[in-house]
Parts: sequence; structure tokens; C-alpha cells
Amino acid sequence: MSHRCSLHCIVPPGMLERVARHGDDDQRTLALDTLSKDHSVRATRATNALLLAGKPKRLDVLGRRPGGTARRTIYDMETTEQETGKLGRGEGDEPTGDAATDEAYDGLGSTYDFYWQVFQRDSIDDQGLHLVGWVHYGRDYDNAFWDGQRMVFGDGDGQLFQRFTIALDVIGHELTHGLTEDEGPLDYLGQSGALNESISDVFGSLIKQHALRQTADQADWLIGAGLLADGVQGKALRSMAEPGTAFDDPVLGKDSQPAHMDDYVRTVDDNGGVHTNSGIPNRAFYLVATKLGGNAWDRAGRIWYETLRDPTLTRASGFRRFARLTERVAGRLYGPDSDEGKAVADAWKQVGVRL
Amino acid sequence: MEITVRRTGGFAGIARTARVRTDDLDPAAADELYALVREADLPAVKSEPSGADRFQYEIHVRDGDREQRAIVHDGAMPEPVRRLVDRVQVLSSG
Repeated sequence: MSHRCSLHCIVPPGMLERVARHGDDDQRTLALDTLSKDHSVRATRATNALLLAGKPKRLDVLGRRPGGTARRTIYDMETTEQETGKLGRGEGDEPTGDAATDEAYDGLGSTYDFYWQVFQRDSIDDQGLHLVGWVHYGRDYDNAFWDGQRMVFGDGDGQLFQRFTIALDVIGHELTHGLTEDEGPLDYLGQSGALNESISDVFGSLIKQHALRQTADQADWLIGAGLLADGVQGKALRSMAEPGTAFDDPVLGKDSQPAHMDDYVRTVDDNGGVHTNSGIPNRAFYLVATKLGGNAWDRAGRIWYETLRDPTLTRASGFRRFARLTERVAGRLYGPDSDEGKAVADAWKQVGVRL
Repeated sequence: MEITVRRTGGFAGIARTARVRTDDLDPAAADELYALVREADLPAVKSEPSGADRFQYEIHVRDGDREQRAIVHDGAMPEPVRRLVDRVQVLSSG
């Protein structure tokens, strides 16, 4: 059985963090033992809190590092789906000449730089979390994912998909799932799951725009451009500007993303269509960013980022709650009658989400 | 018996369906499939999504008028269910 269930299934890491602050030494030891079996971001943060609380004299050693530089390790999984890969490229190592390894290394670097330079955020957990990427995962594997600890990239089958490291926005998308898990989280189901997906698309696209120094008007607003294999009829996997128009291919099928609440897709597939209904909040972001102009990460990105970090964003939040929160955050950041606030309100109205 | 495995989700969010009928298999392969279905114990399976962008599989088994159904997720899939899904995908593509 692959079922993994120790104490952390019952005791949330947040509670263990409280043990760190208020528990005695025995309780801290037990909590640390529990957390040692869990390697999620939240558990890592709780572990750090326990170590800090238990050994106050080491605060200076374990304390917050200055930040600004990524720590990356890329493992080559050698086309297996096992957890045993060989070291591909560590931080500071020279390029290997292996495209997937070097793209993952560079892409995680660009993603780290984006979050640091734009939001002064030090990695996924804002505490300099080590970034781990697995490449050459599985044979002809048509996917990239965040497994709760690391970013994993398949090589694609060559018929429909190229290697998944080929597009920077895909790498940024995966790393952002880690960030959402750390800040939110947003349950990976239904509307909260579609928001989780949309946030990864939004920041994946912004990371690409930032690396290319593109303004909102210059950006292609596509997710996965370059990922489709030669001969596949499409320009990308998703279009934030025009959801539902990214591809239309005899084998792959047709892009089924809705651009408006009227076309919201109810399904049991894909955890309730999280990669489908994300088209609605994706387009809302695109509308805000292009209405405001300039670098999309400056204002539209800031509003979305602060919304994700807002404590009132609950894990089961739907589109409406998220939308109202973006409007409130825009008001807080730029004033209640600001252009930013109006752009946000107008965008949600255009995609059919009532505020 | 007919087994359908519908894979959805993943970064691309594109569905793919694999289907196998034991009538189309030689007796040994059919017996193996019956055993895999028994071991998978689909009515007892509980699976929640783990991480993000992983595949979801909807498994549907029809044997006469009896039906079993389960939804499972990569990263949170019991080993016997994984073996069944892999087998159906291999047989279906072959």
C-alpha cells in the first residue's frame, strides 16, 4: 500500500507549530518526530519553528537568511517513476548540456528571481526553501506536476507534447502551486481548485513576461506555448485572453475552457474541471492587466498576490469570494475609487462573476 | 466483464479513455484481469487529490448487471489499484 498516514494526518502542522512555542521538551521531541515523516512545505515550516523554539541559542544560525539567491537541485529520474534519481545539477553547477535539466534549473531560477524581485519573497515558503526539480520522469510522460514537495517534469511523448520544461510558464506554474499550498491553501476541487489552477497560470504567465521584459500589451497570455509537438493544431494549452481557443486538434481534441460563468463546466473529471473552469478567473486577470497596462506584475499581479496572502481567503473559497477579495485588496492598495479598483470590478463583471 | 479507465486532469487537463473487455482476451489474460479487479477492491477505495496537476482516474467495471466504480488520484493510489489501471492501459493500447 502506498498509503502514508502518520500523526500529521490528524494533527495539522499549525498545531505542531503551537507545540513548538508552548510545549515542553518531550512534547517538542514528539512533534519533531511526527514532522520528520512529512516533507510538505507546511511541515517544513513547522519543523523550522520547532527547531528554533527548542534551541533558542541557535537562532542566529538557523534564523532568516538574507535571501535573494535561489537554492536549486535538479534530479534526473532516468525515465522511471521511482523516487530514485541521480543528481543532475546542483546550485552553481555548470550547464549539463541536457536540455530538460538545464531548462528546469534556469526556469526555477527565473521563477525564484521573479518572486524575489517583484514581491521580496524568498522562495516558496518565503524562508528560502530549497527548490527541487525532477526531470525525465517516467517514459514518454505527458505531464508536469507539483507533488507537494517538488516540481516534476515528464519528457512528453513527442507526438502530442514536447518535454514539459520547454515552457518557462509551465515551470512557474508548478512552483506557484507550492506557494499557493503554503499561503492558501485552496482545496483542489471545484471552484477553489479552479482558482488554485488559475493562480498558477497567472503567475506562470507573469514569470514569463518578467523574464522577457514584456508589458501586458506585448505578452501572448498563453500557457504552454511551444509545448505542443510539431503537427498538433494549436498554439498552446490555454489562452488567458481568449479561453477556449488555444487548440483544436483531431487527436488532442478542442480547448474546452469557458471564458464566462454562463459556460461554467460541471463535471466529475479533473477534480471538478479545475483545469477547465480556471479559464474564467484567468480571463478576469487578463482583463485587469490589459486595462491597467504597463508591466502586468506591477499592479494586477500585486493585487492577486496580496489576495492569495489574505488570511480571509479560506481553503474552500469560490470565485465570488476570491473576486470580492481582489476588489477589497485593490481598494486597500490603491484607494477605493482607484483605476485599479474599477478595473478589478469591471473584469469580474465581464466574466459573469457577481461581486 | 468490461473495464473502462478514464484519465483526466494533469497539467493539460485533457481526457483519455482506455477500455478492455475480457471477451476480447485469451483466458489467462482474462483471469488475470478478474484477479486484479478483486484485489483492487474498488468499493473500498478512498482517494483524495495530492499535490497539483496530477492525473485522476475514474475506473468503471461492469460485469453482467454488477457495477463497480472508483475515482483515484496519482500520488494517493493504493498499489493494487495502480496495477489494475496500468494493466488496462497496456491492454487497451495493445
